[in-house]
Amino acid sequence: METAVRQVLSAGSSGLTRRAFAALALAGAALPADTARADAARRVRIAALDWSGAEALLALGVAPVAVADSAGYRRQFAHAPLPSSAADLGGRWQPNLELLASLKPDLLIVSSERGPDEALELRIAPRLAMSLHGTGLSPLAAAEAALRRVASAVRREAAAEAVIVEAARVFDGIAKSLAASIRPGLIVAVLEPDGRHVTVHAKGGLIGETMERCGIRNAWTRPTASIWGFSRIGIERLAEAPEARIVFVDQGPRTRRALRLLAASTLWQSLPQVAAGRVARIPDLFPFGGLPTAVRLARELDSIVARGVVHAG
Amino acid sequence: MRAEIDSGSWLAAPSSGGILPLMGLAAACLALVGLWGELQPSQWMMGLFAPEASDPRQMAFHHALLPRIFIAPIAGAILGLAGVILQQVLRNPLADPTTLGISAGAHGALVAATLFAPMLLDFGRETIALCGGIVAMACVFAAAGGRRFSPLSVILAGLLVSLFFGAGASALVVLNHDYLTELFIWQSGSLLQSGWGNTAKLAIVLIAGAAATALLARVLSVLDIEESGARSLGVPLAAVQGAALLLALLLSTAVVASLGVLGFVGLAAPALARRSGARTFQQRLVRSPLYGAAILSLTDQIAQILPLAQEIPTGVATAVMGALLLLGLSGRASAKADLPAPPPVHFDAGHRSAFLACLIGIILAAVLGAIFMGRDHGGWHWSSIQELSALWLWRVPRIAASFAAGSMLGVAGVLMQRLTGNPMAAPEILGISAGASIGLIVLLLIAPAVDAGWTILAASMGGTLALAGVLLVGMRSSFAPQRLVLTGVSIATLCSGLAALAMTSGDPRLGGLVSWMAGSTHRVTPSGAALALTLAAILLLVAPLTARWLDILPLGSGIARGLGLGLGKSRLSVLLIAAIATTGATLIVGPLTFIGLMAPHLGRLLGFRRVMPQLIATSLIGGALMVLADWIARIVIFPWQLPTGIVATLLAGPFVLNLLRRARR
Repeated sequence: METAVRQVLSAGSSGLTRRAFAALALAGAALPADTARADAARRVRIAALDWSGAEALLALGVAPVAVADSAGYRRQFAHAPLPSSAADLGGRWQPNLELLASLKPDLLIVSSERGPDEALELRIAPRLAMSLHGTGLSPLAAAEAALRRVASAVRREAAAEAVIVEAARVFDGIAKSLAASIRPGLIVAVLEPDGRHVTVHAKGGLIGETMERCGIRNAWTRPTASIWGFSRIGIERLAEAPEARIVFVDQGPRTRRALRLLAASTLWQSLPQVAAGRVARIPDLFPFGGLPTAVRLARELDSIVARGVVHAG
Repeated sequence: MRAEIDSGSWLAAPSSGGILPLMGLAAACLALVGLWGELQPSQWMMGLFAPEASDPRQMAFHHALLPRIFIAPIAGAILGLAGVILQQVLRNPLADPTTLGISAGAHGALVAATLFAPMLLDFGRETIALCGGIVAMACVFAAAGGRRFSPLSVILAGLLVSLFFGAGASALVVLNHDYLTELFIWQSGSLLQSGWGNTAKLAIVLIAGAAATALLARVLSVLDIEESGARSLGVPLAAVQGAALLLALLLSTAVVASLGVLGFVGLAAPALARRSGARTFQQRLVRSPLYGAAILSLTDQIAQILPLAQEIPTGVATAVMGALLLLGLSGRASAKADLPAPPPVHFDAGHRSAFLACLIGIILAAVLGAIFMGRDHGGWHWSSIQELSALWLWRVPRIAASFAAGSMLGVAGVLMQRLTGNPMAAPEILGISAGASIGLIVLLLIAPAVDAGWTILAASMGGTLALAGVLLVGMRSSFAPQRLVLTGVSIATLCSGLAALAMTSGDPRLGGLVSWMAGSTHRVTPSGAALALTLAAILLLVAPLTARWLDILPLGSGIARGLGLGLGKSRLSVLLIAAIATTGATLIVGPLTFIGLMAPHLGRLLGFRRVMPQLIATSLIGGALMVLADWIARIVIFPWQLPTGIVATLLAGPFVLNLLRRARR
């Protein structure tokens, strides 16, 4: 089990592959003590209106029967692929309750922010709210707690502990390898398609927290406007951290348009980071995801940092 | 039908000296302080002409700070020029790219292009924006009948067109949440620059625009005289007016394409120019761009120094400013005459019961269709009674609540149209819907988690406060309809500015707000639906108590007073009933639907012209329309759903514009 999980979570810096993730699911299912309960869990029908809930389920080896905006999920959760059997429930903010009810789920996983729908959803099935924000916990601790809650709902506690232990091992490994080196800071940013703004992730959100946990220096240290740990700034302010490496989240067409505009911008080209070629991309990810998102992010950032490491020894 | 803004009292009132130099000086000082913060003055020449590529501060100075300082007055001057041309051609002191719907049209076209044909954006945002602006302005003109329409009616038509295009854009965004922030970044107009490209482009636009204006100026100034007089001078008036309008369109859409929507600069600049004593068109033509430049520069500088963690987009700041300005205008707008009721449409009274029977039949069909007809993964499906036991919970409450909301909006629409004597008055213009939205936005921004109770409380409080504001302003004029309309428009403007500000924050919960503001009925519970139906029924029982007032009020304040009607008291009562109805409906289907505007007219067209029959027919029609909208919203893109409010808006929009057009005949 341990090895299977490790094999999965170390499956390449470009994120977890589909095959590796299936192996993780098997690993979760193969725990001897869990076998009988896992059979029961497999028959439990769970619908995830919350993406991080779907991600947690899949990390535990349980496939949701339905997910809200499944196309959007597939775009941002390449590391936790959704089986094609999962039904699309429509928009995350306006899920099709009639369709949901007809699927007769046993459990709904929802976002804690979607309070007002409670009364109706409870008529379909019990709800499990993923509270990743506003809990007073750090995003990573909240993600662990949420994973444990999902796990106890589907009786996969052991699998959850395995995922959590493995995530900690990944984080610690990165932190240890980086401790011995002088490392450049990173600015993780989303390039806005107007070619003038970027959204930078600082302390407080899942991205900033994961960086801190792994000892990856976040070069953007300004206080953020939102409790979600990001703010939107003009591109010229990136020069406030001239030594950093800019890591942009590749969001497909939006990002391509931004890059086209930035390629023509003297200001962008003259940014110290850009002029020195210190710009890297990571695949699209959901900034409000859970623990598997954090692990994938950590690996991707680690490989980027590794390229720029100057060994102190 | 005249609703003149008395231009003698305030807009043209000369004031002591000009505040232009003061504004310019303040903007310049702030700009210099900003530059100083980035670079020592000794390095300024170098930063200006030959920035050191390896020095980020010099690069930011040269490529971000300076272009922003220059683009603000250029864009402001363009908007000021567009505003003064529009106001002259339309002879309407309230005309401006925002109030005419041009900005909304340009913005909507850009959103559509972003989602459906992004490659078009590479060819030129300007062309796309121009097309959108032309379509929007054509709609306003078709609806408002061109320059012969009164200022207030043009602004109403512009507001409706803006709301319609805004609803279209929101519908697109609800289905493409990834683009949410993008939409609002453009809607909240940012002056942030990353190079001189935009600045150079807009400078060329300004110079070309000024040259073209110079060619047209002499003929346009003739418009100061009466039109017949102008024609006798042998001036090719129509051609010049057309050319001038096209010029104003080009100018304002170029700004939208480069910077996003910067509302109301084109309204404020000519107003300030007039106030500074510019009496002739030539004087206004020179001073308005200057004022526009000063206004936008100062606004942008102030927006930059506000001590907030996230910078306020300049477009939001100008929208807030515009709202206050409109409030100022509404406080001074004098009602020369009350608006009479729309021209009667005569129907043979004998057919009315047949109409009513038809109407009830249609409503039954709509409700039954909505209950039984649905879609599943197998395709269209007509449910049997047995299947309905599992389905009723997902269909009946939202149908019932939609009916109640439509019905309340219909009643509110009848009350508002009769109260203001304006056929285009809608519950939306009361400002209650916008106020409810503001309440909800504020709640989301300050509270970490929200539930249904808080949502209702915040929306009600916001609506009540907005109404209180409208009433306070209206009290001084015994609730004269013209002032109510302008106040409502101001609050709606303020709301859209605040909403755009909240949306640009990227808060993940805002998706819920967007879906509420677009009018989602999917969360209605059986008890909520029962409550809504009860409220609708109570309102329908109470509203007829005002029937006598409603018959008299549209005849004008003079007649009403002559008949011994207490104007203030009767208007206040009608207004309160309309406000409760609007709040109830807003909580269910969101702040925008057009149903309250459309249903009373359908009722009248069917021959229900007296108060009581019109109230009943309208509430039935409004309810049926909303049920239809809700059904379409539920099934058209299954398994996704559209918000009911948006579908209702898009359904009713063309009808409403057509109505405006016919009302002019």
